Amino acid sequence: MPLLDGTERLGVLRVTSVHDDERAREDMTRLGALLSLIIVGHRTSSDALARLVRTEPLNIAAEMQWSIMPPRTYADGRVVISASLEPAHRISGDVFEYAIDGPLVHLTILDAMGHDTAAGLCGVLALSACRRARRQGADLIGKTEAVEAELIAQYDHTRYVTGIVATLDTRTGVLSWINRGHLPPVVIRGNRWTSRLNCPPSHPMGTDLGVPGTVCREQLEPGDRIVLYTDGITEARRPGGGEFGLDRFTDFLIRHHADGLSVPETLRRLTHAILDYHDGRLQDDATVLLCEWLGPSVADTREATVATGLPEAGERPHRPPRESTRHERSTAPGTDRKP
Amino acid sequence: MSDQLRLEQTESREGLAVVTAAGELDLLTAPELYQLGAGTIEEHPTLILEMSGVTFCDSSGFNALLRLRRRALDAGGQLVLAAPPDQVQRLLALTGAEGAIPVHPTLAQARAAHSN
Repeated sequence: MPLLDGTERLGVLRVTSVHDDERAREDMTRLGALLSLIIVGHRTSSDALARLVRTEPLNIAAEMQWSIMPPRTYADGRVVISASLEPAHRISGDVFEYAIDGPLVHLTILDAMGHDTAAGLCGVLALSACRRARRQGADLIGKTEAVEAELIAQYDHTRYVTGIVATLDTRTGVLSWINRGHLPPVVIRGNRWTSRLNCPPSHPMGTDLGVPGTVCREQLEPGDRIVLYTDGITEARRPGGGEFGLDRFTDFLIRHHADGLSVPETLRRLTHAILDYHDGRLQDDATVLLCEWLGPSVADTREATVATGLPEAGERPHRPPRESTRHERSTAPGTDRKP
Repeated sequence: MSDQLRLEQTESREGLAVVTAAGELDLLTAPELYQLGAGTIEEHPTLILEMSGVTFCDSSGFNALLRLRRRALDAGGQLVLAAPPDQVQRLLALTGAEGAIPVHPTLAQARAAHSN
């Protein structure tokens, strides 16, 4: 039985029963749901759970950063969101966030310069400042200005953070975003077409270079996938080789989407592909935040169910995804929980 | 693994100095560049950084450039880049910093544009 928090896969429950009928299956589903609630309820207070979930010790930056980021997968009738951040136990400075605000979905990806505890601290500060400004009603430019002000106050121009701060209006499919010195987002339409969302960048937050911020807008179609990512995905090189590259990255997403693979599973395999490409070791954080816009209706969750790889209501539980890999996984197979 | 950063102050005259950087600019080596650059700027507020030998520059390296720019402006001069590698030019374009730091394809052009 999958253990689920909404659409986030917490793990797998094995139940043995002498009964093999509809009633037993329904009881198992309910038992799984109840256990999931209990587990989630203890997530922020249980060390035992944290130890069970982790396959290796976290560095301090990861300990800080995972505690402020949302679950890696979310879905309702309007959007499917999934994120991947590697190396999950040793991240330093990349952070992502999404937030549901009535019909609006806010998406944020930030990359604090450097790869050390200081970068982690800086990333946490930046995301917290962005979140605080948003919850006080700031618009896209206002949010990034709040981050810049906070970084300058704390670091006096000695550290910076790049990022994309975006809002999707799920009623209309209009995506608006601001680029603060970051790699442009990509939109994937169907399995044919990808487009870089170019928008004149403003300077990285914390540098105070005075480049004015520009909010850009793009009309999406239902089914479009917005991809935010950091340079650890596309630009990290392997010894003697080229970059993983944007084309290889988007081709990977398109191919697995065409194969009908769920979004969380696609990102999990992407992680393995990037690790493979780099001989199992990442020198930089590699982060993807993917949001598929399904349409304006919250209630119709069938598409979201398929896209997140969950069993549909009344369906027999799926076998958890299996896959073999030469590399150590950062999370247990078939789960997308935070470490 | 890191190709060491090599820094040399190759010339200096009234208010202007040239520093040549070669090798990798990263988390480990960026502080060396910043310290040498900041020290140079104290005496010569306009610093031309000749970068043709730089083989790698990450966010920490780029940050050292932004900090030196600020330092030079505060001192009444500026940071000028000569022959930055593609990676640095990409970072300048990506971050919108193109307009904030003067860039010249060669040291000779940088020197000609910024000597008075």
